[in-house]
Amino acid sequence: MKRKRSVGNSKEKKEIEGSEEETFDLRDMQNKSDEDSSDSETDGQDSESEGGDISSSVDEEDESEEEVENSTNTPNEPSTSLTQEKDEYEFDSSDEEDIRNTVGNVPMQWYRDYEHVGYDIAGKKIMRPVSGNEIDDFLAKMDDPNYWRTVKDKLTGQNVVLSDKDTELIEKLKAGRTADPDASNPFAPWIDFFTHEVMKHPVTNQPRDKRSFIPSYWEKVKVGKMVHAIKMGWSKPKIDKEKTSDDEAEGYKYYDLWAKTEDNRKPRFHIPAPKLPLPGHAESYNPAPEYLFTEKEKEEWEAKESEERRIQFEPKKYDSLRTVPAYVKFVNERFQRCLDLYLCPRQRKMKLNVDPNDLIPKLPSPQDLQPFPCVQSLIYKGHENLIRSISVHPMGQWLVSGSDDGTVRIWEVSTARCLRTLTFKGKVKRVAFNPNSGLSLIAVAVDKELIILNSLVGDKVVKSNTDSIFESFENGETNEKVEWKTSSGEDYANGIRLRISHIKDISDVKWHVKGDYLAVVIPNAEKHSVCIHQISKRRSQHPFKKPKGLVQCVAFHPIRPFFFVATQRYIRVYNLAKQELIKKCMSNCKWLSSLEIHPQGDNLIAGSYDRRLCWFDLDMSTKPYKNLRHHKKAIRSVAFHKKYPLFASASDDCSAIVCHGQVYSDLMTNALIVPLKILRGHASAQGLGVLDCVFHPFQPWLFTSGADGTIRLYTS
Amino acid sequence: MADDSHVEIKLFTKQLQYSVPDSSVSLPDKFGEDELNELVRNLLEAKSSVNFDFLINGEIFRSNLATVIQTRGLSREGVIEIEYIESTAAPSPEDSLQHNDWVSCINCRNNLIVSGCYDNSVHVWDIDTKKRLFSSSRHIAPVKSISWINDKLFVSGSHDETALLWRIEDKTLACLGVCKGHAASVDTVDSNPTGDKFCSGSWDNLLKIWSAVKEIESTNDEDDEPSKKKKVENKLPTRLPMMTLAGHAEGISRCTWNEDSQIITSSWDHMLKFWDLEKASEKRNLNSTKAIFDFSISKINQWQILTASADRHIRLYDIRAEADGTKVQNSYSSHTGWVSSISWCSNNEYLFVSGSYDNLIKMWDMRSPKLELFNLEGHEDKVLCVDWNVETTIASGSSDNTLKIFSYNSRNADD
Repeated sequence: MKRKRSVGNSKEKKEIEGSEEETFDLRDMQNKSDEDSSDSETDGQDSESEGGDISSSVDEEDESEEEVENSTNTPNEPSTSLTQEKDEYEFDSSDEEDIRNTVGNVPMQWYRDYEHVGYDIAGKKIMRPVSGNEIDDFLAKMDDPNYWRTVKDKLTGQNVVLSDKDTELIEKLKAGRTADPDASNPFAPWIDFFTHEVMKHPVTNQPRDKRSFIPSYWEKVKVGKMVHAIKMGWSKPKIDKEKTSDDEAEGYKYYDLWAKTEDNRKPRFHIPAPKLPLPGHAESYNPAPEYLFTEKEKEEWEAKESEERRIQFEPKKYDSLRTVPAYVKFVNERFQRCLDLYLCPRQRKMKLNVDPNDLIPKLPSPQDLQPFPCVQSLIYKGHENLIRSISVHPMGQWLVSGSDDGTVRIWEVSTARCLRTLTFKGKVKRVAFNPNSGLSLIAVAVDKELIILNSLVGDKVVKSNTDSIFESFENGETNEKVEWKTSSGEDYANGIRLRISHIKDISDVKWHVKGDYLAVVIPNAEKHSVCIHQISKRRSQHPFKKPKGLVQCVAFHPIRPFFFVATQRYIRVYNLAKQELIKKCMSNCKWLSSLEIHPQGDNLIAGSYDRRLCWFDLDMSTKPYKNLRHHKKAIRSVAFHKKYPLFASASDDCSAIVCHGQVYSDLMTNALIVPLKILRGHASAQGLGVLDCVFHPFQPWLFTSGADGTIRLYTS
Repeated sequence: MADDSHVEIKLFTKQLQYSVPDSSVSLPDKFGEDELNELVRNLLEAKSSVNFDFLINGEIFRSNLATVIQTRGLSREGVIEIEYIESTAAPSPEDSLQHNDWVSCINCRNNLIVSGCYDNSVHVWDIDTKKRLFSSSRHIAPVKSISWINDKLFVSGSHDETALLWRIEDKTLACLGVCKGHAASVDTVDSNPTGDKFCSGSWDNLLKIWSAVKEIESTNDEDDEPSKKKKVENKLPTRLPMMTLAGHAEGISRCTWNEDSQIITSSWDHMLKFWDLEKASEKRNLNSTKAIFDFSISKINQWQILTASADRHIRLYDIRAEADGTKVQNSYSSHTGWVSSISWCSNNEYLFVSGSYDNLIKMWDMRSPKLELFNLEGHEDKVLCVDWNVETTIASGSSDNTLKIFSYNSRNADD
């Protein structure tokens, strides 16, 4: 190794002992360069021992052999052993021919004190050449252009001038490149003489020596030292250094996107190709005769375009499969099929397997919700013009109706007998029985006047009590908007007790449940459009300071001190006790026509001219809980039954619709609304149909008044 | 096969004068009523003029045998027993008595008819001469109910919340007293079987019982209008109720005092109530599904009650049935309007008449629920009341202002 190093270090030393050996060594070194570099600053012991090892050529040979054997085990080795072997032959031949000094591989200092340096083949002494002194050497250095590549052969003592090839080799070695001077292509493909696979039969049949079974002592020592060095902290594992340096130096923070993800990607839906229709009997090579074309059929078939043909081929009959010719259209059909596949939609169609009946909400059958009005039983005839309004006595015996012919009629419910007729000058817009059965009052709205009537039917005591209210009070309060007038004479005999005049026409009148207050709607009176009268004290008040829009109708809450005002689109709920707005219901309708509060007071229904009936749950949102759109024309009136869970709507399409509207005391359960029956019977007149509907207070009966001048009673 | 298929039948009757030999005959099943009539007449030979009705299992049929067998699910294999009865004679319209206003109520007794009218008047008519004997307008509101108490005494109830007690004296109609107490129209009155008391039902849900004979001393607390007083030549004694029975939730539409201590009332609250007068309480209830307008209890079979309610059906109840007594035995429906009134025949256990708002009076045999026996036409408006308390006279009042009388002669009566 010393020699190698000296050669490797520089040409300045020029103490290479023989060119042949030099070349050998160079080769050797080249071969072992891998080992050396890996050894990295090997200790002296190692090199010495190596030197000791290569003391004899026999040994060398052994080693080489051994290396070849090893090569079968380790894939790194074979390059060295192979080149060495090659070299060996070369040197064998050249050695034997060129050798002039036969002393062999002995240290030349042994001949230091002699005149000769060895013996040639003939046994003659090889005399030591005369070596010049330092001046000669200097002169040569100055003069000889080849001085720089002149080395001394230690074996012969001759100066040898290195050829260009030799210097090139040395340059290459110094640069750490491929040492082989002949290698024109340093990256020539590797020729694998011996397969890397372990073959069944070994290359040599030589039994393995003992050494190969014993762990290497030197390796153990080497490893021990390395371990010690690591332990003491002198050296660190290279790999770790690299890794940490890489990550930290780059400053990346990696995160493994896929580390935690399981393979949960959805499997791609396989969309099978559309199926080809299966061949039928007509495609058979031997079809039944009815599939074969008659002549006429064939003519027709040929006359048609191919798109029009029912089948694309002509069925033919063959005696046996053997006689079936090649199918002419095969390629064409395959091509068509490919086109079909290319154009076929690649979309998975999700079929909805839903029974349409399941989508219909489960509602009880109307049969189970009886009783409800379904049959027209009585017609109350007598009015000569459209009947705008009807009202039933709270005891259910009497019915009052107001008509455009200027009359108010009082009917006996059970017989359709008109008992009284009162005539007024204008059209009767609205009639309303006082809901308090202790007072037999009817409020009648005629144009600008609100007339309070004593019905003069029913209980004598009640009638006289009613009159006593008016007798006890003398002077009516008058202000500029409202004028109270008592009646006398004939008017009094007819039952008219009070006339309350307003500035504009009245459109709606609603009594409070107790029967003392009544609210009047005067839609065109702007801020005076709602007026609340108190009969007992003959007082009037206008609860709203500002007009809130065109007021359509009003209603009193049956239990609480609430007041409902419906404008064209909104229903406002006011607390009369606190005098504040509680709620504003949005109807989503264009023009509300009527309003009715559920007897329990938590729900209300509103009809609109745009055919909708909205059910509001006052405990819930401001939006309608249900919208019913069963009518074909504008809804004129809506009504709740006081005892039965029924409500009805009357419309210009000459029908009234009765619905079941069950309200549950359980707050969690929503109201159940079931349309029950369309009641027909009224005729259309002046483009109007049914104008008002009222339920009987006890029976499941519905009264409707129509533009045809009749009132009809529908019973269960 | 249907053309010439035969069935084995056997004819029998309970009317002995028409009995035929007890043997079965095979008849084509297309035979109907007429052919069977012919057959029976041939068998009887003598009385060829008589018509018969035929019953299978106690129900009269009008179609041919095949249809009956099919609809009633009878077996063609066995012998079908057919009962035949002499068919009911058709009642004949007798007369029409004109009123000034709607005739709201009538009641017949012996040869007299009393009627109440919407013009506040009550009238007494003679059936035989069809003449008005008396009339009076003591009421100040339409008369709603009227009833005989005994041969000379009758009572009328009105919308003016009073009932008036009348007596027919030799040449005059005397008003004996005014019964005050109701707070709404008196819609029904009836007397007890002995004729010394009467009861009244009103829209104020109360049933009141009054004495018909004992002249309660007049308290002279007449607070009526003085105009009325002037009309009355002598002051009317005011009568007060002996007893008031409350229990109905709505107006009483009809009351019937059928036993000494039992009153039956019907009401708009869908109930029939049986009142025990000795205990002055209700005995039992009979629930219906509709407001009941009228009912009639058979005078022969005291357990059969027919009701007319706010629909077009007449229902037959058997009050002997247990389990709250809601058993509807049969329903008779061929009216097209509300049935306003109903009345059993006084001495035939099968026959009854009904008046309806469809302008018709129908005469029914209890055994023929599908089809009435006869339609008694003539009224031009709603029939408000019918009465068949006198067997030979069916009287009806209508809103066409007439009272019509139909005479009925059963052949049995002839024989």
